[in-house]
Amino acid sequence: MPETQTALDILNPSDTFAPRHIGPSDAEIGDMLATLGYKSLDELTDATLPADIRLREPLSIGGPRGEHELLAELKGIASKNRVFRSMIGMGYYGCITPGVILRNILENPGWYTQYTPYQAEIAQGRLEALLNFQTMVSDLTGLPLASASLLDEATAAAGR
Amino acid sequence: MTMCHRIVGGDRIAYFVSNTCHPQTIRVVQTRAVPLGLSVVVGDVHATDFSDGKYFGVLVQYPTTDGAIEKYESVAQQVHGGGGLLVAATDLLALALIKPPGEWGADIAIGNSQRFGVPMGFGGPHAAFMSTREEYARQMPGRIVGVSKDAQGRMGYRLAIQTREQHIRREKATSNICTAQVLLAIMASMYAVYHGPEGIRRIAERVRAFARGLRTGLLKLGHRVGDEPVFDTLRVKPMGRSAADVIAAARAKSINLRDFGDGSLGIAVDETSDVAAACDILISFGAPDSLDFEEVANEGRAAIPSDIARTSAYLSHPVFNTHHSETEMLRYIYTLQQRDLSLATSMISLGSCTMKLNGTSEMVPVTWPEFANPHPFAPIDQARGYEIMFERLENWLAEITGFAATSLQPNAGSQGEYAGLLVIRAFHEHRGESARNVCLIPVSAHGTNAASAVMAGFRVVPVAIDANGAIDMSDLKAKATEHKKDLAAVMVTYPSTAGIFEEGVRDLCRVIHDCGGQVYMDGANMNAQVGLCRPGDIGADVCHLNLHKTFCIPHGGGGPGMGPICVAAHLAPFLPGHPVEETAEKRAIGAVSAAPYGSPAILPIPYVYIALMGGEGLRKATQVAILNANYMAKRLEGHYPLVYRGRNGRVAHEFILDCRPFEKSAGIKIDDIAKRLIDYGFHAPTMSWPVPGTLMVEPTESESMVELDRFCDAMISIREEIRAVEEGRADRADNVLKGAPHTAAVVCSNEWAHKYSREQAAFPTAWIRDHKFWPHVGRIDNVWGDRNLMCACPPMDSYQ
Ligand SMILES: Cc1ncc(COP(=O)(O)O)c(C=O)c1O
Repeated sequence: MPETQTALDILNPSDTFAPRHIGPSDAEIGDMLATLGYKSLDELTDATLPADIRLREPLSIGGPRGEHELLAELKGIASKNRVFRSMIGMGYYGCITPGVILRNILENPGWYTQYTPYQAEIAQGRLEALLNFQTMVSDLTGLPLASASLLDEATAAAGR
Repeated sequence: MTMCHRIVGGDRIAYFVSNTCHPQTIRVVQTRAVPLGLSVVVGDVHATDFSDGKYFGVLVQYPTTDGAIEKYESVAQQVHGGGGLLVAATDLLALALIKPPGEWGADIAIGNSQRFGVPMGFGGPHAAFMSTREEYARQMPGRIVGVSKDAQGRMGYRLAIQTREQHIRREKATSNICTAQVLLAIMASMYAVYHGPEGIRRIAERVRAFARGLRTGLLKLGHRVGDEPVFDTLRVKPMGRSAADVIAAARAKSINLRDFGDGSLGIAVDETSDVAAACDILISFGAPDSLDFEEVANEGRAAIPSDIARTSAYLSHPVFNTHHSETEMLRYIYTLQQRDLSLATSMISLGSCTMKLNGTSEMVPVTWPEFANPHPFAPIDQARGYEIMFERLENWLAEITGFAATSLQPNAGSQGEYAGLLVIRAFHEHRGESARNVCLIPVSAHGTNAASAVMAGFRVVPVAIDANGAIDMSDLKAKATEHKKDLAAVMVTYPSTAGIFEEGVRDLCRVIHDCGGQVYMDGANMNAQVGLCRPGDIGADVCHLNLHKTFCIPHGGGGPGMGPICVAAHLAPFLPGHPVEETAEKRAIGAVSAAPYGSPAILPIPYVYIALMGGEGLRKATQVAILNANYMAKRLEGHYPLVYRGRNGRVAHEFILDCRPFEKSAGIKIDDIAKRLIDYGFHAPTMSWPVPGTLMVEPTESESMVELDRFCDAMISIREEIRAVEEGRADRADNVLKGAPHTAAVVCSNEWAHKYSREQAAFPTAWIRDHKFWPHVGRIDNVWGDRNLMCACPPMDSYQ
């Protein structure tokens, strides 16, 4: 760490996210740029985008944040939602998500990071689960053919 | 509605919607009807005669929005007599106890599967469902999974009758759905697997027992309650006190009831209801604190009247009757999971899909109860946290796109397109230019573009592309000028669907504006723009963002997604409204989703992503996405020709590899390469879109150089395998590509008759030994499956 780093920089969160989100390390970025014959990301950008559309100012979104402190802040925002027992109905009902489904499906990247199952041979798991969905819908509604999900009840009624 | 219209055909334009449907459903149907020139009549089904054939379809809610279980047999007879179709919006839990729509004459059933274990999430995401008679298979919107067999004759699943949709015929399209709600559908199906028919029935009966108990209690207190029979919902007219007082009293006990706005209120019981809540409700109606609900509930007990009771079995397939212990359930979930290649396995370089990291910190808040549990129509003052998040996110998205306002309502890119085009339509109408109805769309556009344009009531006029995949500016100018009087909009994707930053995009916007049109930008490729350029600055008027691409919402195997739209100031007054929660101005186009903010529970994902990255981080992510693509293109260009290049030979965030020559040189088709990649542990890039016979690769910024190199090595190795066929060193019919993918069962079998080795088949390079992904089935026969359509769980004897 160069000495020019101010004392304040050292107090910034150590768990900033961009280096986790972005796959290549700065060294790898340098190597890849060299392969292409550029010195910097900006140089590559200049070469790739038409000049007349370039955004010249930084996005006004704020600086990078640490994962831990941002989640703490968001928890504070979330807690401004007051969760009542809603017995309003209208197509939305309280329900119990079985823990085994919550943790192992909804919160499991093995289930949430795949794409639409176009490559069937490597999608047999979710295709079976979707076939179960179709069977469940077909059985309960008493109609033989069901599809593998639509966006919401109202757009389903509009007929997609 | 549109499905009925397609099936019934003819010149009928009227659709009847029962006034006992959910209000948001009525509103969304109305919004949809207008641009299609259909008319929606809302009224009392029992007081209307349908035998004259005026209506092409009728929509009823079963049970109704206020809880009545009405009988529709005679309605069905009349509707059918008149040559129309009957649609039932229904509730899966109720159907465990009452006669299913298919048994009383409904032709189509639709609804929401949310209450099968999916949190309300302030409106979504949840999976809606649709079922119908077999003869309407080809008219049914959305994807259908079907059963087929693989190359070894083993059973395997795949998406059935695909030709219906991704490859939707441009001008004919009437459904634009692409991303749907797969993850949520899977949750709901797992809920059924976990509980089985008895468990589901028990939950339904418990819900009904609470509703009946409440009904009995309310009658005893002298209030007026809707007629029997009931399932879960009661409509109550309080006596001796106002509905507002009761609602306030319940709210003081942290319970939300429905306000019908006419002095009556609604109570909907659910799986989470308990005795304490039931007591609180009755006390809010004036019952004494000492109330004994169990006694009341006991008094209210009664069997379901036989004329509405369900007698047929459901969920009898073994899959719903096996995994009821948690151990079995856990193993079932993991057994299926292991058959799928996800980002937890390797990169998924699908062009136009932006399969980037779905960061854990982004995902964590999704299941916080504060975000997961609010009801979409709960009083907005209970959703202050959501409001703060929406507002910040809307502003960030507007900043990123260079626009003035954002609507978070559309639930997918396709819905954003449709909403954005409706906004443009409303803008023209407002200016007295309602004749503008031509929508120019380049032939290279995604199928959803044209479909959305048709749904928005526009006439699609295709625009040619040039040899470099760019919009042919002279054709664009010619078409725009030709339609100067009736030009409504152009739809452009930027960077283009060919993965190129086209040079003339500003001119394009100018040409369209000069001819009185508006520019719709398809933001599917926004991952190449964020922080570097902005649709608003370029000259577009509206664009959608696929939050499930650029902004990290995971694809969930085909949904959920979100497709908010950002618009320039002149279009802001027309952004979607909502009948239940007022979300917009008077000139609003109406609702495009059931819930006012689409699928709020997944909005923490883009929120956390944007906040964590900050402006600089987002910009760098875009630059690295472009770097990664150009690096891969560079490594692969000597092996596979690049179809298109932009300025300085650069591509944007994705690029297209030409595989067409191999068909002639080696008899190798694009499918063979895609399936062979599986043997190397990779998901194929986007196949044959936007150019047939090609692969479109989008690495995203989240993949490290090591992973990019692994993928490139696999592609190069496959090129050498093709070369072996070209040079006669491998057989044209029996080679590693034609035999791909190779399952463990095939490779380990005692029989091996191929002209290549087992090792070549399964372990073509050294690193695969370290990390082998075995496909569960061999190559699936799509044609066979479509000829022998089966779209429900097959009988047990077929599992081998
Ligand atoms: C260029 C383009 N436009 C539109 C869409 C449709 O988006 P969605 O699937 O979210 O409806 C896609 C999605 O794959 C796309 O690639």
